[in-house]
Formats: sequence, structure tokens, C-alpha cells
Amino acid sequence: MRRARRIAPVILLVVGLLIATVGASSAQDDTDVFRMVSHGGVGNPFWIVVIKGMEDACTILDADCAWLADPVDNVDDMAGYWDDALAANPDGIGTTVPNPEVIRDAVGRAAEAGIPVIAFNTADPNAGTDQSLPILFYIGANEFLGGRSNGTRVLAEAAADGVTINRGVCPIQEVGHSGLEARCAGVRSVFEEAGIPLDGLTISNDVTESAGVLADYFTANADTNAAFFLGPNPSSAFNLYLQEAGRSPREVYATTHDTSSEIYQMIKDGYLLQAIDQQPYLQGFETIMWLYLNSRYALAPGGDILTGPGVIDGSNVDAIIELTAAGYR
Amino acid sequence: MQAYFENRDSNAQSGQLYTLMMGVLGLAYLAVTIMIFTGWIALGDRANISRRDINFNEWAVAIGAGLLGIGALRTAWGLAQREKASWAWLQWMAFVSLLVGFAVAMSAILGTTQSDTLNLERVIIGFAGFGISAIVYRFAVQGSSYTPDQRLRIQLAESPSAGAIIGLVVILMGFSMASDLFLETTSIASILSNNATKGIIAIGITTLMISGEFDLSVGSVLGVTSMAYMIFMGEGFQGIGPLSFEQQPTVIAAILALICACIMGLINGILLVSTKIPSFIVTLGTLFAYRAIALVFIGGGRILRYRDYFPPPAEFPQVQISRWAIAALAITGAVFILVTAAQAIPQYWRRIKKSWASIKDREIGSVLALGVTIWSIMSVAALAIVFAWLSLVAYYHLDRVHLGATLGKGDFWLAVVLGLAGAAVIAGINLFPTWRKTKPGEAYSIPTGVTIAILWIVVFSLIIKVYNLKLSLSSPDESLPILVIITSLAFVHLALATFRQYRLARQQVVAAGEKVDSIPMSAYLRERGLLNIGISVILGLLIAFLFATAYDLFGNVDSPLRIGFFDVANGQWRFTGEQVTRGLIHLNIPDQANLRNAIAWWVILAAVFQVILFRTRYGNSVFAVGGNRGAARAQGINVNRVKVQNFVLCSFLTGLAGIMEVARNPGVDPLKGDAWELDVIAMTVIGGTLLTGGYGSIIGTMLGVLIFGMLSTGLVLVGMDSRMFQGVIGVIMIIAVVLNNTVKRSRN
Repeated sequence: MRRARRIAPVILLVVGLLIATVGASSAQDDTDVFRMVSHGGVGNPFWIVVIKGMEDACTILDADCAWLADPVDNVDDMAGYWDDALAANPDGIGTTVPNPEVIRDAVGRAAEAGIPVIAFNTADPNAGTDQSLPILFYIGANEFLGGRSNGTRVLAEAAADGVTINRGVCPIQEVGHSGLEARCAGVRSVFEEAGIPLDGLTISNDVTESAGVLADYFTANADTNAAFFLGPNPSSAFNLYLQEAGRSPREVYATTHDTSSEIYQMIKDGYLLQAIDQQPYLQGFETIMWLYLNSRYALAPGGDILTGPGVIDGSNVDAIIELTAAGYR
Repeated sequence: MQAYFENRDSNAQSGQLYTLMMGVLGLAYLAVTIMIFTGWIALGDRANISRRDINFNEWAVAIGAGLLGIGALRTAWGLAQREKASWAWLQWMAFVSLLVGFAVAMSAILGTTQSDTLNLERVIIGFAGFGISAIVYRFAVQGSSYTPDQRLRIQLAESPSAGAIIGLVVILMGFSMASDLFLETTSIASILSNNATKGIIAIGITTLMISGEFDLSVGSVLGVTSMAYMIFMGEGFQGIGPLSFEQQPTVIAAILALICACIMGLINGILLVSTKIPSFIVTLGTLFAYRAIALVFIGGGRILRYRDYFPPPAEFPQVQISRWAIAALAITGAVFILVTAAQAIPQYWRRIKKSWASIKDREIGSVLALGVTIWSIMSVAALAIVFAWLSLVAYYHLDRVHLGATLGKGDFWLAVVLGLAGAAVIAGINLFPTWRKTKPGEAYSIPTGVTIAILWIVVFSLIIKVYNLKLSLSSPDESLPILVIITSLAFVHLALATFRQYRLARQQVVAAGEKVDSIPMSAYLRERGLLNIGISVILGLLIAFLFATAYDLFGNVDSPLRIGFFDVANGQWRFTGEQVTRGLIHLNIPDQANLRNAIAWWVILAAVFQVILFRTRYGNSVFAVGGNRGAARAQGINVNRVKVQNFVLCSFLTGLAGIMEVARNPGVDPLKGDAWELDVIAMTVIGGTLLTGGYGSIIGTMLGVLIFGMLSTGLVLVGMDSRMFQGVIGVIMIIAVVLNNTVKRSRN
């Protein structure tokens, strides 16, 4: 009896190890392992759609996928999540590149190990230079083009109404985020061509707080009549500001990026001219698909794959609302 | 100067010189007042000769200059009479003029950043005023035991929030000089509205910090409470099921959400006392844990929006209240006022006798005292009338008679009654522990102050009656004069009280010979509760507005009152941008001014907690626990219980703030309130509360909140990159704490 007791843990350990080894090897043999590292996660409605795309792709491929990101937006934590991703010894890694220096070391290790890496959502700002990361290609919207689209639309609509745009503002909710800065840069390039000043403004992801900052800004710059928002929460803040200040549509020509039910409502009400949709579902879905194709058959497209800019405005907003309810937009 | 007052002729010339200077100064100040009213000096954009639209800045400067002018002339007169007390007057006048001159010069210099042309006249006038006042001050203070600046410093050293006061003044002056927009109504509204909810949380954090703990999890608690409120409202809850908006789920949802908040506070507290881990660690843990609740429950990272649950044909949630409840509240309030006033009557009588005796002795200031006393008696009489009138209201209500039919402007009058009742309740909260303490013969009892405040409401309602104004939010510009009249009367009250106190101080000086060992105005402020009076007035005003906002939605007098819950919690006070062309006072409140009810709640809660902390047994135990845990225990205080209670209280206030946030923006994302805890702790620390416990004040925290708000708004207004904001806040916080500590050490 005593002997049996002494042996029992040893047996248990051995059996456990056996099962683990078998399980691990079987997993390695049959299932592809993919990891997606991002600077934002479940806290932000935007990423939910990307994650859904990823999960749908993984269901089709029967792959083992995981989303590694801070639930709150955090760029610096990406280095840690990259270590986690590499520890899983994956067949491919998708990553956003809001700041290349944070993940340079980890991406280098992936390249040494021969793990394919695809950038999604946020491109490597140094792509094409000798500073670029060893990344296959980029799947996502071209933020700069999205910004340009917004800028051009505002100028066109204002011209159609016979209104002169005196000054624009581009509030950024996460300062230092290269993707958001690129959106503003797109607008700025349009405005510079037209010779109109464009202010920067730092807001946050908190709706009421940002509405206060916007109110202060419009107090100080009453002549500003163009605004370019970069996400759902800033748009909600803009909506709150408009209500509180009692301003009517087209007093400020405004556009946004990304989508939310409030953004659709604002487009219907005429407070927003258009929203640039980068089709986040595609970013999650295609990244997994291309990682699969590349890791298995070394296939790659001829260059970056653009999922945007797709434009949502009064003409197509109703159709988009239905797709959003299903979780694809 | 000594010699001059002792009637030695050798110094007669200097005395005459000062008399002349004070006379000129007084005339100059009065001239400024008149010039503002006639439009010769325009502060801000809206300048025209008829001056139907004087803005806040101009009112402030005009009133300030008027008072200074009267003060200076009074000084000149006193100097001419060789009245000893005018020496102190001279010092103060010189001191204030010195500051005014500096401010004028600096505003002209800093203003050039905006207009590009240096206003040379203003610079010269400012520096001239500064220089001359400095010289006068230099000689006027010779031989006196306490000079004005010393007194200020002593006062500051005794305040727990010296750093915050200095910071507030510096930041206020700095930004108002750097940007013309800073003192605009819109900006002030922005400062207040955007920080009121954080201010409410800061009250809880202050209480907690005084008891030696603090709470990092408030941001997450806010997020969870907002989310719980929205989910309970939109999706229902176990056993009750989803409710439509007609079924009034809002109040139940709010209560349940607050219970959730309290439970989270309870968990914090129990973890703390049972594990004895520092609160930093415990609440850091719950900061993450509670955030996870929000992230999990708001599945798919949605934004929970009221409008998604109840699309537009549905209204925002409404609460129905029986008019009986309102009438009961009004009558309770009136009874309380009468009881308070009755306490004061013997004192009035004594004071009248005393004033009359002084008048016979030809003492000048006593005329004023008599006036104040008569005013007080009138207020008691008015109160009796109000009470009788309230009974009438109740009577008619019993018979279901429309107030509008019986009394003409029934709706308006009911609103006034509500305001009165609110004022009475708050005054009661404020006064309860103190009103018994008033000793006979003292200058100004708190009941007097309150009754005077109440009388003002009566007086202004008469004015409104005469001018046929309506208190109605559908034509809000017409109800503006009410606000203005109360405010200006409150200002008169403060001025009167100051004069009165000064007279008393002067009597002490005369009695004690040369030595001035009382500090008139501020000592009065602290000890006799002028602050309380001011708070009562402001609170009464705010409550009147609170009820008026709700009242707009009441509808027919006969039906139950339908109040928009969101309007009560954090509704916007709407004003129209049109100018008021009728009545006595002309004010411009722009449409963009975003004043919200959370401001009223913030001030009310701050007052309540100030009373709780400084006037109740519980407050004492909070200080004792934070100051010296062992001693507190030896006194029989259950240390652990106090701490747990404080955690629950803090979470409860956070929950209230969460509901107000939802009321302002009916949409909750899972990251709501993220990083708010740091803002709130910064506000509290700036306000002078010590992290080690046992020391701090709610008023200080309010100043901290204001500093925070002024910085965030001001930096945007002056066009500074708001990326600097966090850096500036950090530096300010450190400076404020260093100042607080320096001042505290110097007192010890």
C-alpha cells in the first residue's frame, strides 16, 4: 500500500508527460499554429471585427490561433506579446507595426527561425528602406490614402456648398501612433496643396473628456470648419460636443475613420460626410489565409494588399449597417 | 505714521499727502467703474455705448473697482479724521493697489501676444500704479506689528491647501492674461462641466486619503458602474426582465448599479483589512480585475448605447414624482427655516439694542450694523409670510386647484418654492451642528446669513413679479436676471459682512491699544462660517436651478411631475444667445456654454462631505484613523470599520459619477474611466491632502479639481500643444505638494 502510494505520483507524472508529448507532437503535425500580435484588443470595437475575421479563417483552416494584445491600446507591450507568440513556435505571425523599434528584435528572431511574418492593419513606416523590418508584406488600408480621401471630400463638399474652409483640425486620440499620424498626414497633404492650415489636437479615447477638449478647441478657434476624426470614440465625442454646443450639420465639415453604430447615425444625420472603412474583417481573415499559404506553399502576393480605403457615406450607409450587425464591417 | 495719529504736528504733511493720494485713488477707481458701465473701457468684444450687454469680466472689474473706490475714499476720510484704524486701511489699500497695478501692466504686456500692438497706456498706468502703491506701502507699514502681506502669509500657512490656493491664483491670472477667451462663460463652463464628475470621485478619494488609504480602482469602478447601469436599463435583470422605457427602470437600474459600486468598494475594503496588504497593492489588483468585468460583459467590444436599446421614438428615461412629495418637501423646508429663524430672534433684539447704543455714541459703522439687523428682522418676517403662503399652496393642492388659476404664475411660484425648499434643506445640512453655537452679541450668526439669503429669493421673486418675468426654460433668457440678482446680492452680503467684521476688529484694536492681534476678514471667514453662508447661498441657487431644469419638463400642474432622469443627473442648462432687453441686468450667456447639473451635484456633495468630515463624529474618526491609528484605537474607534466604510463611500461616489457620465453621454465603452484614477489622485494631492493620511480638506480638493480643469482648458485655449498637458500637470502637482509641505513645516 505504502509502496503504491510512493509510486503513484511517479506513474502519474510519466503518464502526464506521455500525453503531453503526444498531444504536442500531434498538434505540431496536424494543426497550423498562428499568432496575431496587435497594439489593441477586445477593449476597442474596431479590433473585435479583426478578431472575428481571424477566428473565421482559423475555423476554416482548423488552425490554432490566438490574439495577443493589451485589451487597452498599448504599443510598448507588444514586445512582450511578441515573445509569447514566438514561445508558441508558430507557423506564422501577423503583427501590427505602430512602432517598429518596439518589435524589431523579436521580428528578427522570427526571421532567423524562418517564421513568416505579415504586417496587418498598421504598416511598417520604414517599409522599402534599409531600416525596414524583415516582413513579407502588408495587409491593410493605406492610412495616408484614407486621409487624402477625407481631405478631398471635405474640400469638394464645401466647394459645392459655396463655403470656404478656413482651417481644419485633426484630433489624435493616441499620440505617437504611426497609423493615426499617417491619416492626419494624408489630410495635411491635401490641405497643404490647397493652402489651408490644419491644426493638431490631442484628445483621448474617453468620450466626455474628449468632448470637453473639442469644446475648448472650438472656443479658441471659432473659424475652424473642417474636422477629421480618426476613430469611433473621437466621433462619439464630436457628436456629444455638437449636441452640447447646439451646432447644426455642415457648420463643421467632418469625416472619420472606422465605423460604429453612432458613426452611421451621424452620417445619416449629416454630421459626418463620410467614414473611411478599412474593412477590418479582411485584415484578420486574409492575414491568416496568407500566413497559411506562405507557411505551407511559400506563396506570396506581388505586393501589399490594400483592404481600404472603402468609403461609407449617405449613399451606402444602410447596406453597411446590415453587414455590421452580422459582425463583418 | 504713529506720530500723525497721535496728533503730533511734525508729521502732518505726510498724513495729508496720504489723504490726498487715497482720495485720488478712490476717485480713479470709481471712474473706472463708471467708464465700464458707460462703455469707455471695453473688456472683451462686445462694446457699445448703450452697454446693454456687459459681460462677466466687466461686471467683475466694475464691482471690484467700485468697492476699491469706496474703500480708498473711506481711507482718505479716516486719515483726514486722524482715525487710528485708517492706518490699517491705508496699508491694505496700498497693498491691493500694488497688486492691481501689477496685474494691469502684465495683462497689457501679455495681451500683445494676441493683438500684436502693445497697449502702452495700460502698461504705463499699471506700472505707475504699482510703483506708487509700493512706495506708499513701504512707508505705511512702518511701525505696525502685522503688515497685510504678513497676515496673508499667516492665513495661508494655516490653510491645509496653501499650495492649491497659490496655484489657483497664479494659473487663473496667468491664463486670463494669456488668453482673452479664458474668462469667457464658455470656457468657465467647460472647466466646470468637464471636471465635475471627477470632482465627485475626488471627494471620495480625499476622505479615503485622510483615513490613510487610497483607491486606484476608481476608474475601473466607474467603468463597471456605468456599464451595469446601462445594461440594467437596457437589458433588464434577473427576475425583472428587460423593461421598456415606460416602465421606469431607470431608478431601479441606477440603484442596482450603485449597489454594484458599493460591493466593489466593500471588496476593496475587506481585502485591505483582512489581508493587511497596503491599499496600493489591493486596489492596483482590483483596478485590473474590475476592468476585466467591463471587458467581459461588454462582449465583442461594443459600445453600449441607450439609443441602440431604445431607438429614437423612445424618449430618454423619465421619472414620475407625485406633487405631494414636492409639497411635503417644501413645507418641511419652510418649517426648518422658521425653526432656524426663531433661534435667531433673541439675538436680533440684543443686536438692535447694542447698535442703537453705539449710534448714540456716534460710532459710524454701527449705522451699518443697524441696517443689517433690520434686514435680518425683515427676513424673519418674510419667512413667516413664506410659511403662511406655503400652507396656502398645500391647501389648494388638497383641493386639486390649479396653482396657475389661483395665483397667476403658479408654475413659476412653485419653482420658487422648490428653490426655497432646496435652500432650506441644504442650509440645514450645512448648519445643523453650528447654529446652536452662536453666542449672543456676535457679529453675524449663520442663521442670519441663511435667512438673508432666503429673503433675497423673496425679494427677487417680487422683482420678477413686477417685471413680469417667467422662470421657464422654454424662454430661459427671461429667467436669467434671477440668477444675476441673487449673485449680486450675495456679493453685497459678503461686502457687508466684511465691513462689519472690520469694524469689530477695529474696536479690538482700540481696546487693546496698538497691538493688532486679530486677523479680521479671514478669521471671520474661518470661524464664523461666512464660508458656510456663502455656500448656503450658492447651494440654494444651484438647487433652485436644479429644480428649475427638472421643472421645465413637469408639464401640467395637475399631473404627476415627469422629470427626465438624465436631466436631473447631468442635464445641460440651456440658455439662448439672444440678449436680454428687459429688467435690470443684462447678461450674455452664449449658447455654447455647456453648464451641466453635475456641477450642482459636485458642489452639494462637497458641502455635505465637508460637514461630515469636520463636524461629525464619523469625520473625527476618519481623521483619527489616518493621523494616528494606535491613538484612534485607544479612543475606541473601530479602525477597520472606518476604513471599510470609507472604501464603500468612495466607490459609491464613483458610482454616482458613473451614472452622471452616462447621463451626459448615454453610451458606455468598456474602457470608460480608464486612467481616471490618476487624474483624481492628482487633483486630491494638489489640493493639499497628505498621502500619509490624517490631513486634508474637501475645499482643497475642489481647488485641485479647478486647477486641473483650468490647465486642461487653458492649454488648449492658448494654443499650446496639449501633449504638454501631462507634463505641466506633473510639474504643477509637484510644486503644489512642495508648497503645501513647506507651508506646513513653517507653521510647525
